[in-house]
Amino acid sequence: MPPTPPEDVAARPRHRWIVEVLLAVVVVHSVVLALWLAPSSPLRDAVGDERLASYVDPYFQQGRDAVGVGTQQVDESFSVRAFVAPDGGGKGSVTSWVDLTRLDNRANAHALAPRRVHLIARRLATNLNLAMFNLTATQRKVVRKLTADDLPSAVTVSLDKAGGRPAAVRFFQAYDQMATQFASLYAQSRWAGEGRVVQVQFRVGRRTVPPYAQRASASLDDQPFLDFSFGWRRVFRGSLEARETFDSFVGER
Amino acid sequence: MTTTWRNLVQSVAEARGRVDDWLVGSRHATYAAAVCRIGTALAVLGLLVSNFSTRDLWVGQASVWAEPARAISRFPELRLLDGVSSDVLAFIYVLTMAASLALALGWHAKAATVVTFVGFIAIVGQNPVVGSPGDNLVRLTLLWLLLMRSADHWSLDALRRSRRLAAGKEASREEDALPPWLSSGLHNVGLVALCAQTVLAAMAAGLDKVADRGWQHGTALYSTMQLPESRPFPALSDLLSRNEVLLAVLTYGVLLSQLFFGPLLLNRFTRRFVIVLAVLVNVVLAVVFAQPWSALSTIAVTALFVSDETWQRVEDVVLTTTQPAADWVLDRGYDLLDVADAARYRVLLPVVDWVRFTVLRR
Repeated sequence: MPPTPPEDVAARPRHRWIVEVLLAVVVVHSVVLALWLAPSSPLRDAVGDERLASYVDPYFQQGRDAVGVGTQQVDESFSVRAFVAPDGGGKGSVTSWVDLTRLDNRANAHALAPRRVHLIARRLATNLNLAMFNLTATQRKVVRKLTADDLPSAVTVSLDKAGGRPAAVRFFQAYDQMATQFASLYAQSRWAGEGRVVQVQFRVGRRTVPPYAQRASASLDDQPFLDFSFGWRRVFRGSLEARETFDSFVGER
Repeated sequence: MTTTWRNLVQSVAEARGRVDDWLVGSRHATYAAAVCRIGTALAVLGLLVSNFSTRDLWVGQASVWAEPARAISRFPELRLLDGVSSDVLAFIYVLTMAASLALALGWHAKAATVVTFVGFIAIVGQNPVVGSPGDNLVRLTLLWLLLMRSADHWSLDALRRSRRLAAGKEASREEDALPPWLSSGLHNVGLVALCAQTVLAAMAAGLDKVADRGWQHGTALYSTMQLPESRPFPALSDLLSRNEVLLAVLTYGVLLSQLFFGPLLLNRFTRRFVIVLAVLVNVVLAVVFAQPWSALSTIAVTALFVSDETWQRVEDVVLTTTQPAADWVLDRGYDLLDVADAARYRVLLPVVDWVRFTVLRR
């Protein structure tokens, strides 16, 4: 602890208020942060979630899971297939489903520091499942009927008409677009040898870990996935650089 | 009444004086800050190194699909990598790795903290879809380290400073850019903020868990250990999840080290207990759930609560035990230098002379 020089100590009263103000700012900041992290309470409600969120976003953004590990009970899968037209013309064909989460799990086996790219499929599945839960039953019926010819603006109108919250519609459309583009880039690399990928389709699966009390009689492997297939989507080409990166990524698998 | 009021005013003034003395008198927890700096920098470096080969897919041109998630992020640093080529990404990526290495070594630590902070947000924030909750902790730690003097010990900066002072020179201008009172004040305020942040993060995580029946029964981690992406070492996960006692010990260890982290810091003996528990729990989580970098960053901020006296004792023990090994390495180092010198004289210089006298003369 290097001491402050004596002449500085003598001058301290002049500028001590500056440091006191800084400390006061930190104390107020910590109180706001405590409110942001605290469970719902009248005090927190009085301040308001939006006001707290606007303060913490972006630099102080954090959740209750910043440290340690939490509980997860749901296993999810993300699978992709494509409609491929042969290069020489003729009738196209549909490929078989490829479960990307299974490939990622295989890549992460015995890896102490898994790569972030092997989380993509799982996170897309989680968010798509969440997006579907946020939609109403009528909206889910609309999603089921979507085809490659439906424009995003028309989809927004259809979903809004079906009720529910606009935020849920935006969330679904964002993840639908992300899943479509990721699936497209993957499909173009995966089935490049079979022809030109015209359309892609993805599906998400969901299954729950059996309760701890049933651990002797049931395991996760016994549980079937509850699948939800999204409609066909027009393929997203992406840049040459993006496609080349996917080529090498898919080639590694 | 007047006397009571006067006593109250006097007490407040005395308390304010003590706070002032603590804030601007000298820098506190400088060894702990050094450990926090090293741990956080290594967490950043480890994350970047382990994802280096897939950086283009993670955060480069091939992450174009993540644009909707990126678009709602409010970090201005993201523009650094907005639509850049693979080469520019590689440059910024390597620069951030170099900065985090410099931060770990304490080489121009203040500048290294700034570059690491900006680079970390620019890179990790590019793909929010695969972000980790631990990223927030790293970012917040780096943010508060910007205010702190984290290179007073165990750093190349400290080594350079002691050499300059021994030679009768002043410390470098970079270190003395601020007046001492402000430097100390900022360090101590940053320390308070980072400690408060750490306690709040731990207690919020604990409060979130304690209402759950699985955490109450000591079985909460069972389900997580069954998920394929959370069991990189299946045999280890099965060993822990099939043994009721081990599972309960780990589950309660996680819960206790978070929920009671703040209160247990208040007493000297319980503080030691909770710090050791938190470190052990995070080491286990790092291996079992393959989360080494977020676990390391958590351990780094936990180290802030270890007193400087303890860190000095650790330093003494390490120096005493490693002295023979260090001497041996230095001796071998001198031998190596001798061999290099001999090679220079016997091989390199004759070749240079031959080139000068035969090739260049023509």
